[in-house]
Amino acid sequence: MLFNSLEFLLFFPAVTLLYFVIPARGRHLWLLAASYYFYMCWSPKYALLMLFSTVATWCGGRVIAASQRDPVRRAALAGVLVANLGVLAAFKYLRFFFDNLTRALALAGIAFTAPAVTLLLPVGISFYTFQALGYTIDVYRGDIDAEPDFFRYALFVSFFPQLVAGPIERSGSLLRQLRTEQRFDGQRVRAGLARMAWGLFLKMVIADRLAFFVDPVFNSPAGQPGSAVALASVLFTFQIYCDFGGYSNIAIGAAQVMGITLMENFRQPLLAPSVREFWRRWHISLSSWFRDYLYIPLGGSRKGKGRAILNNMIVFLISGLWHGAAWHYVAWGALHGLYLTAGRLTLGARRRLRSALRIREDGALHRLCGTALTFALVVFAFLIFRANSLGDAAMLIRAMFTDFRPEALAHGGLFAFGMDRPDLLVGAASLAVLIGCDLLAERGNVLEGLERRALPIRWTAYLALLFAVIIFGVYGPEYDAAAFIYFEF
Amino acid sequence: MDKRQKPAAKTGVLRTLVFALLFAALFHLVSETLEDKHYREYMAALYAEPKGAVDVLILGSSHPLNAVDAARLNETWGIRANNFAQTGQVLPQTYYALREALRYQKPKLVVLDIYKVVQDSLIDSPATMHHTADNMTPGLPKAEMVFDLLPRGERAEYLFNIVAYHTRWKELTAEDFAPPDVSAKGTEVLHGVYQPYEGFAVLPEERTAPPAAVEIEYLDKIVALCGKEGIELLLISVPFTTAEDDDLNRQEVLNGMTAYAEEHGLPYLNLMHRTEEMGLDFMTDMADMYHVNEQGMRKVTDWLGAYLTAHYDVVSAGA
Repeated sequence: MLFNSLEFLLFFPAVTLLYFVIPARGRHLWLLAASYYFYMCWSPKYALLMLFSTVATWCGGRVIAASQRDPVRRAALAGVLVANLGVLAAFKYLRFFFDNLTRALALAGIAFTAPAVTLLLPVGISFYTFQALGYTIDVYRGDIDAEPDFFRYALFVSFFPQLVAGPIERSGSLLRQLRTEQRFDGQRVRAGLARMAWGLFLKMVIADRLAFFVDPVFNSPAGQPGSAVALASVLFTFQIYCDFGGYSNIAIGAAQVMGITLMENFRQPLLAPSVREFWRRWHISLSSWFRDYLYIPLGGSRKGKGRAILNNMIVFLISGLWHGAAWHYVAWGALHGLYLTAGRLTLGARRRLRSALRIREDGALHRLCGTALTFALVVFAFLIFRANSLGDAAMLIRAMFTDFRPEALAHGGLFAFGMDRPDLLVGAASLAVLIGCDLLAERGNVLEGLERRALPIRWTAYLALLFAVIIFGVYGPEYDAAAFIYFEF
Repeated sequence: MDKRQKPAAKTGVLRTLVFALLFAALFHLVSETLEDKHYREYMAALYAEPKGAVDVLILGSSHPLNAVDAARLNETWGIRANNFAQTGQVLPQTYYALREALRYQKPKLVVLDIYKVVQDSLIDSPATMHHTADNMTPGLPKAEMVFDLLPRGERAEYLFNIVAYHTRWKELTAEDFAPPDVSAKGTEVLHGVYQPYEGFAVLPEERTAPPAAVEIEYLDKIVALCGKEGIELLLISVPFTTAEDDDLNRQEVLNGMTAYAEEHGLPYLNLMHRTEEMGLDFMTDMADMYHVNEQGMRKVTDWLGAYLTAHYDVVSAGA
């Protein structure tokens, strides 16, 4: 079930209404049933995988909490990690592994026929697996107590607003909230719904519209002019931000309606003045997960500059692989790792240069240049991310540097890629709204600011947002006037 | 909830209701504006009639839509008729169209063209389903039609047609903001002349073939509904031509409907066999293979007007 589907439009109000109506002690069971239904709408049998992960991590947590002996605790943690990462590896990376093994052996002159891997990637497996593992590690570290109620814990793993695409919640926050009785709060409900509407706007009006231009360029890379590749890369950067950011807003808003506060996942990342800052603003729940459960356990920056750089590269390579089982995702992660490494290595030199040129680090011009450079670096990395393969990425990059042809976008050429003039205008206007809101958000929460406005202003804004989604959103069967014109009956 | 919270809660509920009403009104306005307007003016003519102003209701697909001029029946024959037929409408849809019409009018007679008994389906196509559903007002008949005739997952765009039409913001014209022209009382006039293939002939009435079961199921419902409401029902089939390789044997199926009519004690006018009486010439009076043109429509209408005048008490007192 997608957030931007009619089914969800019926499912969500029904679940929420009953959630507030039924006695508090049964609410978590109701939400658990609703969450499993939500997941099983996609694939009933794959809900068993989520159940497996839930049982494994809950039992692991109980064993760890009950035992005073370190070897037992370590063994339990290792068992949970191996079982969960094993399932993740089998469903997400097995085909990738065999493909690469076949290729490597072929290079060595060894014929190898890999077994056919027909497993479908279960929706959300990377998200709920990381969330469940985070819980087990937290129990192991003694940061939280093991959850005694299996059903409450199962809800923590499967809570439907953030189940399939995050934010990846921390047990200390979400489990605690699931134990607390949430009362109906009209103001909070209104704010949550407004946030969901904003998320739908980002997803349906901007992200899915930008795909009209982006998809044809990236899906047919041969012969594309470099100018189109550059524009498609910029648009894809906004597309993925609005797609993922939109989804996160809907998730956070839906949880907010039910009285649950999920962590922020995006904080105006495209306005970041450095790549380092970008990663504090982009997919925050994953970045902080890697920081807390991988980077810091590896030693973080406590063991010297060289080790910090190595740890950083490890994290970003794994982060790339987490996004998808393909080399271009790994390259994307590696590139970001290199950006941060370069940033770290040139820190002193940049500081000296600023001092020599008397440029203030917090000055507007410095920030603007930093934001522009960061944006360019992020866009370039997203080109590799979006390309369908590493080979395609190389082809597209080559086109940008050797066959730019700006004239290809002139004289109506811009509209030949799949996005017509009206869609371009709506896309541009929507992006202006997004950038405006992000700039405002740098100073404070825009939706909270709106809440303080007079009723007519608030309602006008809400209705404008809703009807922007209804009219300009990309959804429904493609209307084809020709199909509606009289032919033969 | 303590006493202080009660007024705040009341205000909250009231505001929510007002906001919901405002949203619904705007949603309706936007949906109507963006809606595809093809074929809107035909069914809209019924809603424009004052209550109790229709004695004869024409129903069916595009065949009667193009063949029976309801305005001419009114003006020339003094019969208060309205054409509520819609293009591509199969009999399952027509059953719900009749129920919809009965919400607004209580006709004495329903003239039902049964051409679509040749087609074995609940809907003709998504586009023609839209022609019917879009032009019905919100209510039980429309909702039941959508749930009865369409599979789960395909219903939303008919219940809320903005799902299908929301991209029309790109192509709105002045016509989208104008009220429909209902002066033709639901009839569509086709122009031009189509000539059938050289060997086209009307098959003898003895050559018959069975109709589609699903259409008969809904025809039975129409018969039952008319009986329950005390409305007389006249089955007709207006003239049409076919392609040379007409593997549906449409004429044979419509010939076969005589048996159905006899079995149910219903009058049935297979006008394929009355073309000489009405002076209809297939070489000059067809607009395309299946539909009569303006001239053919006049001939069918006048013949039908004379028939109704002679056989039914439907001529209005003022005529």
